[in-house]
Amino acid sequence: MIEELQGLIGKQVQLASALETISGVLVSVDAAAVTLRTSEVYGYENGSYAIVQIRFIAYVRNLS
Amino acid sequence: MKIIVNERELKEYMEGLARIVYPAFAGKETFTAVPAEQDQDELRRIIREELKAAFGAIDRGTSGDLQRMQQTLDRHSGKVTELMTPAGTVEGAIESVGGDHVRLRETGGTSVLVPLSQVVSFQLSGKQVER
Repeated sequence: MIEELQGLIGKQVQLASALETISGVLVSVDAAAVTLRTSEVYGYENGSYAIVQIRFIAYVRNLS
Repeated sequence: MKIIVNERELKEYMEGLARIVYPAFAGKETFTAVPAEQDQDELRRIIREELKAAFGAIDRGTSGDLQRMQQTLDRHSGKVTELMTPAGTVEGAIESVGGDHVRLRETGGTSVLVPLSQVVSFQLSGKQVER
């Protein structure tokens, strides 16, 4: 699963957990969590990020 | 897990544990001497075996369930299925089944990764037959 998720880094994905569904660009994946950039303002470095524990991911849809 | 004990309780606990895993100490009030190197090795071996048996059973329970789910989904590879997850239903053809996940190809061409541990249930369409 982690290897599959790492293959999605940089792509637009939709990530669903039991509580919510988040869309954004997959930024990083480690053993325990994934980080999604959920917004980006051109010309600014900071956006909004969502960090989700892998064990709570119900599914990941590749939107790219 | 966090256990709060004082020094006396800890000592009693260790002595009780030693009596269980090493009956030669049974009946003695306290440890008066450090067990011989050979006894220590034996104790370590027994404790390792106990831990391995205890945690191995837990691991087998979890991975065994996933393995069964993997085998079941693998049998239906290529077929269109509806997977029920805690976040809702995902529908698509089973593209691949990995050790801990299944990849579906939806009708629009998008792919969806679903961890096997999150699959609550799944449905397959039956074959269409002529009447």
